[in-house]
Amino acid sequence: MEPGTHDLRVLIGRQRLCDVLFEGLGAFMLLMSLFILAALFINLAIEGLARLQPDFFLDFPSRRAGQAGILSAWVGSVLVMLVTAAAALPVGVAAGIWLEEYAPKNWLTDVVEINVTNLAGVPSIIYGLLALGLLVHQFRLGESILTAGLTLGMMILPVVIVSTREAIRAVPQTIREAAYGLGASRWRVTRDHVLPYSVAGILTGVIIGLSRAIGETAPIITIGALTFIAFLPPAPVSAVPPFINFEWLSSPFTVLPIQMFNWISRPDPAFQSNAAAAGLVLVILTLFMNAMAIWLRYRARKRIKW
Amino acid sequence: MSTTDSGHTVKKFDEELASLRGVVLRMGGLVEEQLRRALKVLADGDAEGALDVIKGDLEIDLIELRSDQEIAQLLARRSPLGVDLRTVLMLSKSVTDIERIGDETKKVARICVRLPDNGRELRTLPYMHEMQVLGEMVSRQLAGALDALARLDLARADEIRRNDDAVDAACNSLLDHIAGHMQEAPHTIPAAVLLLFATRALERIGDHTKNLTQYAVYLVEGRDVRHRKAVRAARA
Amino acid sequence: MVRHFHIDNPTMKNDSSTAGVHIPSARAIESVGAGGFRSDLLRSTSKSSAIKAEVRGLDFHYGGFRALKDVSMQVQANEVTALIGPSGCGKSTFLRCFNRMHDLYPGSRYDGEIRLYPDDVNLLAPDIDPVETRIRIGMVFQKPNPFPKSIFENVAYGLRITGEKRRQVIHEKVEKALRDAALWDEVKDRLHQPATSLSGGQQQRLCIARTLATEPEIVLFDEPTSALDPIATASIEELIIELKERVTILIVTHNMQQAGRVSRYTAFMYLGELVEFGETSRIFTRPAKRETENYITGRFG
Repeated sequence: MEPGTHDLRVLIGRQRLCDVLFEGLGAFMLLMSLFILAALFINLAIEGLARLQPDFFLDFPSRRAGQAGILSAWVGSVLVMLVTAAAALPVGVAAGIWLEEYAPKNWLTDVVEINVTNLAGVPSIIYGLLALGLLVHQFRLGESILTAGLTLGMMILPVVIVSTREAIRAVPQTIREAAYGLGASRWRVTRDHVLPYSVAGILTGVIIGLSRAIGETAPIITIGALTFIAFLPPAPVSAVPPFINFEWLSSPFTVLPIQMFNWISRPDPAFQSNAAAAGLVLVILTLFMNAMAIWLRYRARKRIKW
Repeated sequence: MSTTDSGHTVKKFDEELASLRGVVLRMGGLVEEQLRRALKVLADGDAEGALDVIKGDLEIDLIELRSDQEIAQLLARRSPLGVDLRTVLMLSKSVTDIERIGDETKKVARICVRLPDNGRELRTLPYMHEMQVLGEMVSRQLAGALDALARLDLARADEIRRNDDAVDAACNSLLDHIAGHMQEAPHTIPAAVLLLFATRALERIGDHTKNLTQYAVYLVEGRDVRHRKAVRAARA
Repeated sequence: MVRHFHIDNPTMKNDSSTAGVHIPSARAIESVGAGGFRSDLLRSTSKSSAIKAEVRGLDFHYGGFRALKDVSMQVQANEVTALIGPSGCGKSTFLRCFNRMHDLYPGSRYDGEIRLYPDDVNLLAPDIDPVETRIRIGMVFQKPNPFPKSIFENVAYGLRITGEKRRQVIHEKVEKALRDAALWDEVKDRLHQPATSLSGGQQQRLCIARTLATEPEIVLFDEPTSALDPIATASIEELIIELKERVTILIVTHNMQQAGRVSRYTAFMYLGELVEFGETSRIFTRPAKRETENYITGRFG
């Protein structure tokens, strides 16, 4: 054996030890966070699972814990999410496309870019304050589903813009050049190539934004959502012409997290298990939305190869 | 023997080209020496020396095989272009010409072996001096051509090439003398016929020598200066 | 002074300073082989050709960097012209001037002209829409870049851009382009499968078919085989040689043997300048410029 070989082996052995140590540490940390998540979930399940009966989804809130349900809350959440998506998707995608494909690269667009990123870090209650001043008081939209949806839409806009830009940026420049090389205009390149190839990435971003918005409480409370609502907004579709109406937009509403908040603040422990059950629904909804985002991304990766 | 100042990025390429050049120039040197010895053998009627010259040609043949192999390798592995391509092509053609010179030299030497008294009677023939002069002339031409090739000296190459006409003239005059003497002294005819062949061989050596000078021009300038007449005729 | 490189003639001294020929004219091309003569090549009856494009005093700047310096040359119609030179010499930049690809990126500026014949328009003129230029001048890129769509849609895309709506016409033209690109037999039974399911060489031929579908006048090849194996490379080269019957071809290549195999004319570029231009057979056997010699023989740096 060469004299240096032994030293070399010691060195390699030490490096391998570092590898093993770090691997162990990382795995431990991951397990810890998973454990915390699982504990939260199990805690909610223990407390609330018993309440998750069909009636729970079909009953309005009530003063008696046993009869209270989340009907108005989940309908409110779904309708608010509809408005949020309808507001954030076109604006966010258009802004993202403009920044990536059209905007000249100068100081002004740099400022815009930085601010978009900063907006993502603004506390959600600030959006609530903005909405209260602007939407509720200035534009007199009231404490309505529309106001809530627009507020949350504003809040998730940075997420949509950033994820749109990332999805667009993942489209290789060589593909763009191929299309331009054939004589495509900027708009055609965007419409025929950039958007179709990045749509999965964009939707993923939108869903992640929505799953964040669906759990938001602070801005909704700020704009003055009610905490006790024993009726549903007018149905958006009806059997008589014109079949579709938008009255529901101006309807008062509540959403799942506010319903939860309301129940938690009650002294009766029976309401605590109602809150836990509503929390369970919220968590499952969020997990479901995230799963959908992952599935979309997986499908896009399988379908689109460069 | 290169027209560019810096070496190749791939150093091995330089080495291979240098090696090939070395082989070809050594081959040229050997042939030059063979010719000198053949002429001496002819002058002295030295049959044993003639056998040595004939044997010496074997080595030249071996070198030809080796250089052809190196050339094939260079073409296959380096795909030379520009001056490198010209160098390899020129060396390849030079090898062929040098080998032919070797063959012609062998013919000259073989005369001594063919004659009954080992060619001693040759010394008595009146045109043998003229033969020696021609031999030296061709020998000088060959040395000069190889020199021009080694140094890529185009002025020298040009001079040698122009001298070829003088060589041809000397050959023709010698051929006339031999033919004339054959009529006067019929008993010398067997030897004289062989000497006619020897004269032809020297003339051929002169032609191959001229080719060598033309390769030098091709290598340096990329101009093909051969077969002027044919080119002019084709253009017309 | 504007230097013009034109097709050199062995009877003429290879002097690059002679004034350029501004009128596109059929020029007799005489070829003298390197190793020997072929009498049929000596006669000046060989194929004469017209000029497809002429570059005049082209300067190109981007981001304050002068990438092309006073480049002038002629592109012969229905011939393959190769652009060679070390990395960063500007050959790809030069190629991308022909289809105004630089317009996609900010901070670029062209000076000089690229005149396209027979219409005699300056491709670099501000009133010429680069989109129109790109329809007339196709491009094949270094890495095969099919759209993540079906094979059929890839080839049809150019037609759709040019406003072709008739299904029958689109089908015919797609088939013709695929045949021209020697790909039809391999893909005719799976036109609606994704283009990315093809092999690298097939993808590149698909990209060629995509470019051919709209019948461009010039096709620019930017190192088209650098990502391919030798067999796929050979099929692309064969294709290029066949295509020149119908289109004029400019090809950038790092592979000098490739330039030798496919092109009739070669331009050697170095540091943004066109150093030497002439028939490939001459450039590769007896280049006139020291830089060219150093480059083709591998004596650089």
